Amino acid sequence: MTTSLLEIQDLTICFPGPNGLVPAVDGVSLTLEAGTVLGIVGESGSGKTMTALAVMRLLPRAAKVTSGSICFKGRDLLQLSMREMRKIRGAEISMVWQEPMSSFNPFFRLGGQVAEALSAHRIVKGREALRRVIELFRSVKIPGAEDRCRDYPFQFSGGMLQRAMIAMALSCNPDIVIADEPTTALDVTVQRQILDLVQDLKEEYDTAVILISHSMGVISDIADEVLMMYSGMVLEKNATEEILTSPAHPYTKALLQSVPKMTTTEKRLPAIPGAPPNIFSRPSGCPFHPRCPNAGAACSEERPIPRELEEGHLVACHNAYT
Amino acid sequence: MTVGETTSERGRTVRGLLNSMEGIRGHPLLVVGGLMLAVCMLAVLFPGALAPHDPLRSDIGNRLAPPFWYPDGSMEYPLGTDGLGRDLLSRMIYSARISFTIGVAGAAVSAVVGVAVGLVAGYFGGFLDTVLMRLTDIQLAFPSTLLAIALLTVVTPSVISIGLVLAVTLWVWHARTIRGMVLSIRESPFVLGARALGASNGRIMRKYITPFVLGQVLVFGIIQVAIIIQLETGLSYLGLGIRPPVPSWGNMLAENREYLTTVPWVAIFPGLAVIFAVLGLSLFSEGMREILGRRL
Repeated sequence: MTTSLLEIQDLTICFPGPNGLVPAVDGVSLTLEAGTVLGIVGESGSGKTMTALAVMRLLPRAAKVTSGSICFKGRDLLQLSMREMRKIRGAEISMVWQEPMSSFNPFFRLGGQVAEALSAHRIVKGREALRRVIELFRSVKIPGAEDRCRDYPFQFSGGMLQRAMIAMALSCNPDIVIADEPTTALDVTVQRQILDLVQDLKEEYDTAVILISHSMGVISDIADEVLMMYSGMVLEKNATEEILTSPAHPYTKALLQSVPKMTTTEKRLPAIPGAPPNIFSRPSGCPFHPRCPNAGAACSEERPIPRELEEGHLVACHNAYT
Repeated sequence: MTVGETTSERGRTVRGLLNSMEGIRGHPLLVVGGLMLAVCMLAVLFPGALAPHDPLRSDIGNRLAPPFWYPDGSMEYPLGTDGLGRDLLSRMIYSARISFTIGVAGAAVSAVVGVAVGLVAGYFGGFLDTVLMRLTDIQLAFPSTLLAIALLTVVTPSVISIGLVLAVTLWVWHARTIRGMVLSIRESPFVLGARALGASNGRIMRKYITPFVLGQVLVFGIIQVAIIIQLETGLSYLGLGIRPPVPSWGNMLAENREYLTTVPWVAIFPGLAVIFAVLGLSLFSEGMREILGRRL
């Protein structure tokens, strides 16, 4: 077996609740190959952001990783010291955040901030770093790169700031960029541009991308593989085309049905009844069974384990195997 | 870089300065406080040029001379003389240098220590935070004047030691407020972003958190200069601060209080000088707070 670039095994992240530890991420496993795009789709609270933060070792203080491993280039990130981890952050794995407007330090010019990773990792500094930043600004298509590096964050629009953040994430040529809902705070036309940019740059810099989103539309365009998360668990994983055309898990099916289509004539979109479970009162068995149209007796008792239905297609559903 | 670029850069700085001058116009507190402070600074920087006499020289023949507007007053001693015939105005002017030196030095030490403690406690949290904050609690349990009196009975009073002692009693206020600010800034997205870029804790504290608290430190520091000047006056009045014959507003008040019923000006003028300095500092700091508060 060849080792993947990133391999998460059975990751469980717990938060303290009123009655002891509660898992927010429950036994998640995933693999990411070099140069590919993995989309993680899930509703709010499904654990997708926590999974990403765990890779960076930037979980909130209250969170505890209770089991699992995160192997990156053969090293378990969870075992590294903070000093070693700091060398990886920004240089080998970097992040693009959800809110570009508040993710920059308002006191410093953007050029200097984008160069921050370069100087923090002592790659280049000073004038050389600034030249590098101008190059990066050009490659993320910020017009007038030389002048705009001297601007402060408030002088940029949201879309431009997101471009600057992508430039920052790419500055040290990382192996993995984790983009946590990079388009959520932007309007639709800008979303489109940012996604195109991510796709282009992924080719140019040969970077693997983990794209986190709650929107199937965003994911379907650029991801090679899609991971469906629900209530801290992985429900289904498959190549993007496969998951769009032949979803196996009822949750994936229901989600795809509720995406509006240009061709539909119905007045109302189909919706999934109910709401995602609160992690403090998760249903027994399969977390999706109270909302599932074909839930059987086994579903409320036993938790389905993700199993390989065919090559590269994982499903966690009791009904999928029969 | 080209010549055109440097001039445009300079033009930008000048314009920025003009803009901030413009901003001052709407802040009478800042202007009034600033002018009062400017008067004080003249006395601090050039006492020799302003004072008509040597503050230590006594003219026994002219003791307790009245200010110039009294019928038997003269311009030789504009505000009169004290019980030893020393010129009151000159002594007040020379006192300003001592009081402001102690005030600024004490406030600076207090700010450095307080900001360091506040940053560390707020940023790292946990056990360290608990220990440091309990330390500040202990410190706060002592009234600052009492603590200063206790320390000064052990330490030989000098400009430096009085400044340090007063800094010891006041750093907690900085530490507390800064810690509170750091707690909220620490959670902001750009700090998380910096950590994701591999920035170390020291770098984050220096580049991402400190700029946010500096305005607060400045405003509070100026107030502390005023507080320290008052405390120093009190201590000198009690004989624990600046020792005669070196003049300070506090020991002038103490020396001259016995004449209060007969020739009141000798004690009133040093008191007015303290009020003037403290009021100037307070107004100025309040004005600063208005300007910075609008921005932060």
